[in-house]
Amino acid sequence: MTVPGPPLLKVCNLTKHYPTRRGLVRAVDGLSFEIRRGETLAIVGESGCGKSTMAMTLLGLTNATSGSLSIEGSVPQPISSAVRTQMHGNIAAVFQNPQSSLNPKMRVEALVAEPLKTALGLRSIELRNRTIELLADVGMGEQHLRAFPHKLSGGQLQRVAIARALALKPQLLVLDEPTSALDVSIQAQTLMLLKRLQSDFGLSYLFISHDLGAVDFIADRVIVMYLGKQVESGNVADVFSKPKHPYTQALIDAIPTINPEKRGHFALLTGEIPSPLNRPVGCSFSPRCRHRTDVCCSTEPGVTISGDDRSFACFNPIQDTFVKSSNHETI
Amino acid sequence: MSSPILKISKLNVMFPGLMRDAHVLRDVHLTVKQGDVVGLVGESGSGKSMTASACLGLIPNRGRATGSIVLDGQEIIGRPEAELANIRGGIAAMVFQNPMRSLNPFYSIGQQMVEIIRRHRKLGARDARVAAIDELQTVQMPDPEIAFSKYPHQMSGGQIQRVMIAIALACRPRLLIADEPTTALDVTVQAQIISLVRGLADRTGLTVLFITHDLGVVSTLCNRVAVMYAGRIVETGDVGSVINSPAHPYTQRLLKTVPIVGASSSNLETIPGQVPGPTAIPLGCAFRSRCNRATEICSTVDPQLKSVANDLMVACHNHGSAKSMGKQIA
Repeated sequence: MTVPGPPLLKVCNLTKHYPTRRGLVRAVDGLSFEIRRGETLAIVGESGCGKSTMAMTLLGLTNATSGSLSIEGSVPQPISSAVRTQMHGNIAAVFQNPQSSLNPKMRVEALVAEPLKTALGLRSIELRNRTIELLADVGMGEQHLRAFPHKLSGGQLQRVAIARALALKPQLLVLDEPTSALDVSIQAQTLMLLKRLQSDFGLSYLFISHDLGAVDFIADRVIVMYLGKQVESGNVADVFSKPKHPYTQALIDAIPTINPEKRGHFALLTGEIPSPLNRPVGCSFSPRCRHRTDVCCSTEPGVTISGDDRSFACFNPIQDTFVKSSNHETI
Repeated sequence: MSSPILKISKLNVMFPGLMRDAHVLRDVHLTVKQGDVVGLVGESGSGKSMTASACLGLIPNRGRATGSIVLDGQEIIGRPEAELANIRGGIAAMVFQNPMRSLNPFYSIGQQMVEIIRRHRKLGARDARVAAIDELQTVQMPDPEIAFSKYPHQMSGGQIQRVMIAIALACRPRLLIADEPTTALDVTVQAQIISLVRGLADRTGLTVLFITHDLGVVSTLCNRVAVMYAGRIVETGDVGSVINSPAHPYTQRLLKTVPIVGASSSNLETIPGQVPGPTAIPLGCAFRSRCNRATEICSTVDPQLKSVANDLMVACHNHGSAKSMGKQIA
């Protein structure tokens, strides 16, 4: 549940450019959003849209080119320095592949105890108790303490990674495709675990994924990115039930549905994401868009804000065919 | 009724180990008929890729296979390597999960296509080139002539997967085996590849064995499905029956664990526990410890695949639709 008050994090104009020999790659280009307390904000988009780069700037793993960050209503500061001075210990991350994010030579106990030792200075019995407590939080027991990562399954490893991330009691967890490498039955377990941890500890999540089903299940709000830019954002239920941007619609249509009656009904998007070095003029999505008009190929669309937290960047948004009053509130 | 292109019966694959042997496939039965698009689904480690590899005689060295795989009238198990080389690519061709690793980065797309075409079809260099470009057109590659002279690194993942399918089809195989061909791709590109394979099957009557872990892909693409669990097929039938009214508890629960856009549920069904590893397959039914319908017989007798309804086969002692079993589930 979202807690009222100033947002935990307010990001303005986050930009990450990589200069290369062949030109400037605008990996993230002017992204603005806020994450409220206790809420899950999802970032969706295909590979190369800049969703992970964005998360890396917030984690301080790479410096943002420009942009400002304000934490709990404080004075906005440049992102890279704000991340270094204020985010420390308040933000933690869980990555896609636990096999590669956990040291194979460390036992589970050492893996989970590491942040407690180095950052909090816990020792002996205190350290052990807190380690066991953290493992219990993610549904693992003392019998796993002595295990090495190769003895655990993917789902268990992801639990260890989550326990590590929770060690310093962060307020925000960055979840970068946390379920993509897991089997479906384990995905569901992990999503349920994340949901429970969120309500137990009042965590905020930045959930990065390309799995719209998982996003629909776990997130409150969603930002759809395409080539480094935000093309649509809003309440998850609204965005997925009545997408405004043709790209959002295309992403939803591309999901193979389990319902065999609907098979073969997906509208195909032609082409692929253009190289960020070779960005189309005007709207980046225009070459693949079936709603394209002349203006799309010459001018970049600005962001239109349409009430209830909803915004989109498109000249020809998909018209709402339903009666406006049927707008249902979730959250 | 047309004769099957692929008939797998009683296939067992075992890897001897120092401590315990790994039973990767256990009594797999599967029949693929001409024109079928069969989805083979299962979680990782369930044996779906091993089944596919076995069909081409690609079981890793130390593995021991018993049983029978008849591919277009020819027995694969025990056939010498030299003869298998003609079957691979000629009778059955395979497309792998990661297209970037399937092509040689030092040769152009065209060179690699021509090499394979000339290996299996008696064509001269010039004719092979024409055939290759033709095949690139079939897989709807934009600018096939330009693509022909490109190198793998100059193409996107989706394009390379099209090339892989083009290579596979170039030798006119009777069966296309696709091992998770869309897993490494983005959803919009995945949709393109699925529609391409569906279109090829509809237009040319191509027979496809499509391996995936994504039930959505299966119900969009396939007309038949086989569900694998711990090295064994637990349910098989036409897509409509298996997806709409699955009879095996594993299939039933697997279908419910997939989060669906617009379902707006606050709860996802989870299957507690883990898939048993191939070295520790329990006595009786392998799904028993995670099953909410397990009875005494499940812990002693491993259920065999048997026909329960028209065109639906299930390996379960207590099979039945979720509705009729309502009481036991509650």
